[in-house]
Amino acid sequence: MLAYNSATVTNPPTTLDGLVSWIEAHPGKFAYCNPADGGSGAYFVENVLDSKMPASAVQTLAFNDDTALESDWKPGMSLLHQLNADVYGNGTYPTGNTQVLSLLGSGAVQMATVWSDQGTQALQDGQLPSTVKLVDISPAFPGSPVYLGVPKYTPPHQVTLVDAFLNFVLSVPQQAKIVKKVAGFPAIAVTLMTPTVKSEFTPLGEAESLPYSANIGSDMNKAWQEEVP
Amino acid sequence: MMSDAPTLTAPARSTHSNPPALGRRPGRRGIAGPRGGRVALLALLPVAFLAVFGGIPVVLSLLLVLGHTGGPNQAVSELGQNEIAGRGLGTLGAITQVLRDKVFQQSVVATVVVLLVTSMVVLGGGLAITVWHRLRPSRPTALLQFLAVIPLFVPVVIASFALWTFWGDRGAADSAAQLAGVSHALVFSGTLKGVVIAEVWVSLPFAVLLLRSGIAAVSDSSLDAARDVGAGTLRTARQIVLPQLRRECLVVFCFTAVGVLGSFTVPYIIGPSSPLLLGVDAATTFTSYNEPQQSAVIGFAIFALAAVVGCVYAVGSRSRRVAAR
Amino acid sequence: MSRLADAERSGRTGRTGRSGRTAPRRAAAAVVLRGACFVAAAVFIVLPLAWIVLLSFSSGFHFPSLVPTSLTLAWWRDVLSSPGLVHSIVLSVTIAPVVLALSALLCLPAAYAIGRYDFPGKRLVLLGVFSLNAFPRISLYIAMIPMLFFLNLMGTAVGVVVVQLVGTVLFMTWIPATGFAAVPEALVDAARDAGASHLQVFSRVLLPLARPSIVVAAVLSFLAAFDEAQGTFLVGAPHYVTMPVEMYSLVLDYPLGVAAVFAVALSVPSALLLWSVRRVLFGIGAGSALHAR
Repeated sequence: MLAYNSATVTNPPTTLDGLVSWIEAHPGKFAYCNPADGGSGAYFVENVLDSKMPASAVQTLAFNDDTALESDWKPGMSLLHQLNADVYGNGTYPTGNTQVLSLLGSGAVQMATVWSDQGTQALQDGQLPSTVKLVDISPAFPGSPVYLGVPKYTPPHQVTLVDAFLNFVLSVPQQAKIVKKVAGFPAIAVTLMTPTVKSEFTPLGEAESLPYSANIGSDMNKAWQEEVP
Repeated sequence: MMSDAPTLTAPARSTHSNPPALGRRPGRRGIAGPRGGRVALLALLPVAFLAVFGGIPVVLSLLLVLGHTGGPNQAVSELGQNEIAGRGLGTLGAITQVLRDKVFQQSVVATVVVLLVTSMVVLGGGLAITVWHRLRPSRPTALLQFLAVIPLFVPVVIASFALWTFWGDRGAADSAAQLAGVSHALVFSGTLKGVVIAEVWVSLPFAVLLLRSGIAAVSDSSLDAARDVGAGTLRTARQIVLPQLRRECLVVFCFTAVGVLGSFTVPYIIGPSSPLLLGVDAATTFTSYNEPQQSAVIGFAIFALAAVVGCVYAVGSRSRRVAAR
Repeated sequence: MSRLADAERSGRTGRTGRSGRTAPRRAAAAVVLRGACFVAAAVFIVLPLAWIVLLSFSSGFHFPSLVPTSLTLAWWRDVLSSPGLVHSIVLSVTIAPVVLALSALLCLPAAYAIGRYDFPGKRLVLLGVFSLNAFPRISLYIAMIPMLFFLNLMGTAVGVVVVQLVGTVLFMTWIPATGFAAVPEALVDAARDAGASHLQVFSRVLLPLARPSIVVAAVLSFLAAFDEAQGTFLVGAPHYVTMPVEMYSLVLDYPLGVAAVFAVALSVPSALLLWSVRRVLFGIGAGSALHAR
């Protein structure tokens, strides 16, 4: 999510374009971490890249390792490269999520991308001053998926047990717990969820950005390092 | 043949400072007899251990670099991506790809610059501290020598963290500078200067220890003679002490250089996002870009640079051997 | 060192060749310069450490104040009440001595052989050990992973021990070897002539004289094992998380105060070690090994 210090930022941006303009208008006041070191930076980068790509490409890269489509990253990467001079410290990228939080907490920056659960926790602990607020922008940040993997060679009698467990995790009440306890997105379609969850998520719209597959994410880290700082 | 019990004073030959050469020497017990053979076996213990856990992995890594992604490298290759496989003897494809990579090239330049600066500062600082104490000993100089060794006992991850907060934005140094009216003058975290500061901090103890042991060999009489002639501290240092420390200086320079070459923690925590140091580049290539083959190439590149430093050492110490002491 | 001080004192009054007036001024300027250098060096080395100790007791700073807003024990309470963090401390303190003992067992006999005997391949042995140490540690650990998988050592305590052991071999072999080599042949011969057996020679003559180098090697090896983070992380996580590995994640994922507490805690064994071996560490070079008796 986007975290900003409401004491100094009176008109926070609500769209990605708005965020980019804000960064350009307030050099040194926005920070995102190196995508290789922290998801909060990674999903910011992904969001920018996706906004300059055809939607079909974004969809494909979420599930396939179609490296040919990585050439569609060029416009997004060049925008990030332009923003290099306007982000915190003239292109200083903190090493991870927590460093970004501490920059925000100390007042070194006024706006940053942070994880929803980490940000909420920091507000509760007092690491972030109470003037810091967390908002979503449109298009929404992709976030990062959590995977449950089953080894191919699992013996059949164990497969049934594993299936039962997976069905349990994917059931509506458990997914609702995920939303409530870790502020996560459900792994099943929002339309299948409980009414309370549905109401929370529909404002964001369906088919919001999906994070890239693991290998594509790694390639993105590398491409970022090559082209941005 | 001595008939009385050996005394433990006044050794038959000089034993302080310079570690005696460990190669073959006349008068040493050779391998005559069964004892020599058995003794040689003792030396094999750590060698065997290193060969299995160090040597074999390095060889496998080299195979991976050359494109042999099958066999023992299969598991790693399946998990990794962007690999360049080769047939027969192998391929240089991975090597050329890495050498052409812009980030890698920047890393090499950054690493070499940092290591040169660090080694020179460490050598200079170490010499200043040890020579000063030798020529003008006092409580403060002794204390300084002790302080200079403290970083040895601080785990490198702690040191990096401490230096990162101290020299960071809104850290202690920045606050002091702000109070003195020169805001932002002392922020070094996130820059190559910060990496140099931290590497110097971490490498100083070894330099001081080594130089100290070398400087102990400088005889008091030569220093007294210099003083009687009226030579000042700097003059004495330059003309009497320094020439006798050539070997230690070379060792300090080369060890510091190799240390910086392979260092990961310090530049990872304190260093800039770009350029990276080679150690960080190698690690992130493996963990963040999921490219084990390219990471191995970078590892060997670091090793190649270390070999260059080794050559510098070999050349430097050979020319010393010619000049008799 | 008293001879030097005497000489210095006499030298000062006897210095010739400079005009009487500028000499004291030069001397004063030199003293000030030296004092400034001393303070700068001391600050450079010690202040960052003092700073994190302060951080571990601070609730926060209002930039640019150098005084914390308040002192607190909250961070310490957080860390000491967190079972995972305490567990990693216990693990570190358990594994490092084991690694040290194994390293001594593995390397000291070899150090003895290298220091006192010639045998074919000796140069090769030394070259091999040095070269492996020159190979970047992080790349070596990454390369070790397939081997450890193959031997089923990934994620095990044995695997962690192996990884830490690799980092100690150079210290434990090379430094005691030079210590053994420094013992004069004449002493050994004399002992043997006096009727000492090989074992007696080793335990009564060689070992005591090489002891300072062995102590130095042991200290360096212990520190190398204790502080080892990268390899231990690659091999031991998530079951065997030692203090330095925990430290990495603390630095990156936790607030400054927690990391500062852990930093202080991690440094305590090292500091104790430094204090206990300071005499040996500083005595080894000055030949006091032989005058220690």
